[in-house]
Amino acid sequence: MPITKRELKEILNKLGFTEIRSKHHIFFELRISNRIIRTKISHGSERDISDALLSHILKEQIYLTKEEFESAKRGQFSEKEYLEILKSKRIIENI
Amino acid sequence: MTLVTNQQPIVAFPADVWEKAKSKEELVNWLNKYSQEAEISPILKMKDYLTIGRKEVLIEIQVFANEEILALLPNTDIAADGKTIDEAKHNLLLDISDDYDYLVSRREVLGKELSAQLHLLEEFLENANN
Repeated sequence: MPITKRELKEILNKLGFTEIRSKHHIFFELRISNRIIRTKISHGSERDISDALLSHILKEQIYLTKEEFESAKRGQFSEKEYLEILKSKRIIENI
Repeated sequence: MTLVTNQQPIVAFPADVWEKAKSKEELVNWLNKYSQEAEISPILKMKDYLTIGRKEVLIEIQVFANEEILALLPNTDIAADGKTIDEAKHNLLLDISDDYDYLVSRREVLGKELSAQLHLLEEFLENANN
């Protein structure tokens, strides 16, 4: 099911992302050591985020499986646990 | 190989899952896991071009079974959706523009992948104006 922009925003905030507004988008950024994990949502329309785009965001930008994302959506993991997931996938190095 | 639950649609299971399952609960657990892990795959992928300034940039269009459309810029993580191909392409152009501004503002702290992405966008945008 498509997710609303508000839902995604809340999840990203819980995972420690900070918001940066640009002309057409809100960027969500997590700075870790020497790299940035980032994604963005447009603030131009009220339309939900499609399943296809969400799948792309998860895989290419925030590195979560659908199952992990569903857990995050249920509030089942925090910023600390998200960092552990990123480490386990070698997206970031041990800090 | 079907499981019928009260007032719910009939669900088809793969034969091996059906044969191995010892209870209805195991089937339901498999179904929940499957639905969560299933990848969303496009039913059609095609090349297209996006006009940036005076330059035609190669992009990929993906069409999904539920009629969602994604426009992607190859060799980057930039993608945009839309109800039509034109809308997805328009949104991709906005994405590229905003992403470029964002990446430029963080040039000094970008990791390897985002630095490479910024370099690619700079090439597109510089060439687009020539």
